[in-house]
Amino acid sequence: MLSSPAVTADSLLIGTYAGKLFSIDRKTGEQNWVFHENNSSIFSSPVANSELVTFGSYDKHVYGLNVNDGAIIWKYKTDGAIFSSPTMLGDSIFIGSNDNHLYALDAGDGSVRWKIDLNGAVFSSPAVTDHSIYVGSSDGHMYAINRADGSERWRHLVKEGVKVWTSPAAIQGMLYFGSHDGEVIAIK
Amino acid sequence: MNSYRYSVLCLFGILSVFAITFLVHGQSLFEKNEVIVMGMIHGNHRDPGPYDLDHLKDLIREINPDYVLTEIPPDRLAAATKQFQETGSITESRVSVFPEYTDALFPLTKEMSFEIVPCAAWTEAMNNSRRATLKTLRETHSTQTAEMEAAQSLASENISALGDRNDPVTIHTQQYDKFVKAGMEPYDRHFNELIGDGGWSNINAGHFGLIEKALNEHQGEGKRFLITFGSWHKYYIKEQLLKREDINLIPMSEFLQDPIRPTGPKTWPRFRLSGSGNSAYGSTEIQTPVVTWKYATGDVIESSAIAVDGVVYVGGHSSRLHAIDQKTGKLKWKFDVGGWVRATPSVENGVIYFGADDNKFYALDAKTGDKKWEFALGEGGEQSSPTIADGGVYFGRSTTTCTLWMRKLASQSGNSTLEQACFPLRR
Repeated sequence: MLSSPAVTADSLLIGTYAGKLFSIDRKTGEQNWVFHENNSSIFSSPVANSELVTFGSYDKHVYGLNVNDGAIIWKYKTDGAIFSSPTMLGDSIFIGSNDNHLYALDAGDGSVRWKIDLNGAVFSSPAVTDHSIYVGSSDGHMYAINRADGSERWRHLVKEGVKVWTSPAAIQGMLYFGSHDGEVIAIK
Repeated sequence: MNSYRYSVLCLFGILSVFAITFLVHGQSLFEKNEVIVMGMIHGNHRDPGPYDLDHLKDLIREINPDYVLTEIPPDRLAAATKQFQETGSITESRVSVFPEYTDALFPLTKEMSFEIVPCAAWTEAMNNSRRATLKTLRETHSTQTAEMEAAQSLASENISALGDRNDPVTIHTQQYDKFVKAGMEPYDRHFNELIGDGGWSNINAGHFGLIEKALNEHQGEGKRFLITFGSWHKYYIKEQLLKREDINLIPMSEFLQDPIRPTGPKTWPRFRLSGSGNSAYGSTEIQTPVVTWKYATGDVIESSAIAVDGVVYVGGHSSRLHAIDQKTGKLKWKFDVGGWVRATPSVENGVIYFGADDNKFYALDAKTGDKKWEFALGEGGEQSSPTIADGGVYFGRSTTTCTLWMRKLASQSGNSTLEQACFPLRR
């Protein structure tokens, strides 16, 4: 999975295989700024608000940059490469890592609010609702995590040994997602 | 009509009912109509929430009426209908203040077969006259005006204490009707006569006269009538309907009892939901997971599924885009490409966009799967999930020559020339 561009009021943000994160002016296509910490690929798709852009890197870090100039505000190191894309809600950031954990970080300083071990690499990007986070794990489960404290609400086994790298579409009281065994599942 | 003719007609009516009844071996042909009164919140239907236009449409689909009695004056319906048929939108001055009609009911006529019945007694002259009279009354009847305003603001406060005033669950409670009635009572008592046709009881009676006409016309047909008026008119209409024994009045609350009342998105049109990249929204809470269907694509899926207008779309190593019915899990259509579909597709305005490992990028009709266009990207490899903004589709690619692609989308008429650009992003 490659980084998908995020749209802000006036720019596009996209990470690259070569380890850069670009901010492009939406109107002119000109480059606003580029972030380049090392040559580790950025597969994660960035997410931004009016101040911060955040994303994960193959170098195991989650980065928080100033969306206006690309300067690092904070970085947080997990124990695995990151393919998962973050979700930002208020001042919380939710992201998975290949160290098997789902993290909730403070958007202000990148500190950990909670983390939970999902028993397999978390390529999946979290879908966040009012009370829950739905995220897949390479251990074959779709998990529902309590957003407030990171406790497990339930897990649903797709199939033993089948990776769930995808993210669910969470609408109308349903989850729809695919997995490595090639099946799309609808859960209510 | 004089009473003699009336009784003859009645007698004829009774005789013909007997005759027909006899023919069907004693079974009565009279079947009560079902009537549902739905309180509308006009401009507030545009606000996202449990009574926004999408949820409103779903409620109407669920009710599935034969007739929808509307707060549209008879002389305005024809113009609005003609406009909608010709241009797909409505600018007719009276109807266009009701998004529940312009953006929900009229669009639903394309997929449903109900008849819209105009039942508003409103006229422009009446409206102007009421406004002018009220302006004068504010000066000549200041005590009564103060009483009217106090009652209305109390009603408003009481409703807020009851719950979200834009939530159909709140609106369709008995307490809501009680508060509204109490709130409108001084206005009605002091000013109904003085205002005339546009007075509160008078206009309500005017509306109800048209509603009755429609109900009488179709009496005993066993049809379903949905009455859609401003939520403050609802108590009056229900009181009158309760006097009729030829109908079954079904409480609107029966359609609002789904334990999961999603207030979140109705569609999930791209990877991580929104252009800003956030997949955070709403209240889809699943207590105990239950699988409702499974669909086998035949090979690994690493891209995410999206869901738009009742269809779930997914790619995968099957080198195919699958369109699956959201309710049943059955395949609606599939589109074969020459390589893995590793990125999540994106839907915008009825078109689905996605790239594949055959180094092509595709745009298909989301309903039928018919190809609108494709274009070759040249040597490269994997692509990222597309984002649509500013009339362009943007996505990344794993190549050093052209990392970020942008392709302008055709205008709706299809006349504009397509342009594309790529950004090497190599600095």
